Amino acid sequence: MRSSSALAAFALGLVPWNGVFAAALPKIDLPPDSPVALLSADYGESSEIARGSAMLIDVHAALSLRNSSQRKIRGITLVVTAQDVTPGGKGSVTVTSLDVGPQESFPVRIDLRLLRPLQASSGVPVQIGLDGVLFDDLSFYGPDKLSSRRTLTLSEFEARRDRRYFKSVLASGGPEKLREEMLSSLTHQADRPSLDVEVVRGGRATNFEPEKQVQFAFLSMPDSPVEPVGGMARIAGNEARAPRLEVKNRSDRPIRYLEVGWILHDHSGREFLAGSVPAELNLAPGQKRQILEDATLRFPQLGGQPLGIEGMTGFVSSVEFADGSMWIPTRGDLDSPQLQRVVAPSDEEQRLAQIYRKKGLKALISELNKF
Amino acid sequence: MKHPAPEQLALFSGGDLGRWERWRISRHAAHCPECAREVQALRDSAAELRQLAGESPAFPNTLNWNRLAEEITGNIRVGLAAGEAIARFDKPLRATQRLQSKFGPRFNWNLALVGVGAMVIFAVAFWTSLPPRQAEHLLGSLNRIRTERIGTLIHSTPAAIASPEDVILEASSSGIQVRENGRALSLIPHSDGATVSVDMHGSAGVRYVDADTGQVTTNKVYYAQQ
Repeated sequence: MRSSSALAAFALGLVPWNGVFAAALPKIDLPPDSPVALLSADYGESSEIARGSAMLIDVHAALSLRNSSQRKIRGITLVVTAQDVTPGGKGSVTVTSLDVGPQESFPVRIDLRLLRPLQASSGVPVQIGLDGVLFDDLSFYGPDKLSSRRTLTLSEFEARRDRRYFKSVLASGGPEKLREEMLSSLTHQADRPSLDVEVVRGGRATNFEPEKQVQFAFLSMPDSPVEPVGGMARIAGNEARAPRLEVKNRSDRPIRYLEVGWILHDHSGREFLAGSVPAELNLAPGQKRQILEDATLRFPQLGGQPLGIEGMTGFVSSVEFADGSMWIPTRGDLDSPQLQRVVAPSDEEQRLAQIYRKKGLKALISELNKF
Repeated sequence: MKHPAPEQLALFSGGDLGRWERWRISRHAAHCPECAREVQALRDSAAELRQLAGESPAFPNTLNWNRLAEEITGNIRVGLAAGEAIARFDKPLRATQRLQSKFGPRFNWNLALVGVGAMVIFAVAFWTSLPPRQAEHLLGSLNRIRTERIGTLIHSTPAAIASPEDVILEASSSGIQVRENGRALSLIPHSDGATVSVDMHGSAGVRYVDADTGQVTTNKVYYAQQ
């Protein structure tokens, strides 16, 4: 019952599965020329329960995909939509730091929960499609509606930077130095402050507190092609909204995308990476431009205490040039104490640290040597 | 003993009754185990539904009080502005009337006192009949108008509260969610120690290393127009 034909039967609403009616199971739709093929889909512990006047649907999908192309896959993004449930929103599941050769298979796990009124229309509530696949030569396949090309490429650049760094640590300091680096990375991951956050479209107030305009301070990154010149955002209690930044292209190439990381400081001196301010723009060399975002970040609670925002720091976290090449901060840039405290390690560093934690130093060295 | 109607108990359990009715039913429930049980059951169901809906303020209420508050605020603001415009237009006429009244019939204090008394009684009755949350919204709206017109704050917040119709993206280490009108789609990480991220363009994400496969997976939710 795990073949794609069985899946089609369920998706057509013919057979119930483990208490989940087939109508609730996702419809998986891959393009005919897709470089990945669906081998199987297991919905083992999925369930569908009526709670009061609402229906709660838990879908646990373990997909097995095969690389049907002739190149190695480095990353993939699947798009998840539930038109009946949230017509205004959608989701995605991205797997990065992959190393999947031609005809090899790999798993993708999707755990999702839907809440909808009982009287809502029946039918297939969830659709899973392909947004993009990145290969090891940085070529890309897919409709790219969620800017997966950029996300996957940036992640691949970070992965290459960090593998290079750990290889150099191993070469210069030996296995013990690499072990120290991994322990330091794991400590950093455990100590990094994290907070819940909500994003609401529009710069609208959601509380009655008076607001103030707070200026950004910026971290200096000498190698960055973009220089943040100034900026401010409106702060009211535990909300930050409508950031406005002015940036200058100090490189000799036009820029089409950039992202500024946004660190918040509260009144007791704590710091958090609140989010990022992305901008698609056309910025010629030497040109200045304002970036405006009309959205509100809301931080419900932090350790049971309301977050009173007092100050903000910005830093350039990525840049894409008009020719498609990209800039990311170096390991040296990220070593600044403030970034060390708040910025999470890259996908690849997290993966390597987990290999070290679960399988030991030998397995880590063997993994680094694969690349 | 006469029991309150089931719909009264339902409104009471949700805090949607005015002060007088609330007091009356709470007094009854204190002495009537049957009604007290019913109220508790209604509260438990509502709490469970709120939890399921990710603490959505829109769920399970169907009436959009936030939008109503916005409309009240807007209407009062327009009314005040219109009043000012009429006052400006009417000034010469009023001045003439004042001159006339100086030498005309005496001001009727008794009539004025009755009028003021009636207004106070009406205001108190209206206020006590409003459920607390709605009264809070109304007070907030009036306060914002006062602030805008008198200017005690340096800069007041706009007259709006997150509307239940808004698409809200929520990220925490236990999962991400896109919420809309009491409905929700959540993606849940298959591991502890997830990293949360949001961008102001309209996405929220959670990244984790899958406990079984060791793969780095990032779940994200977006506004649909992306």
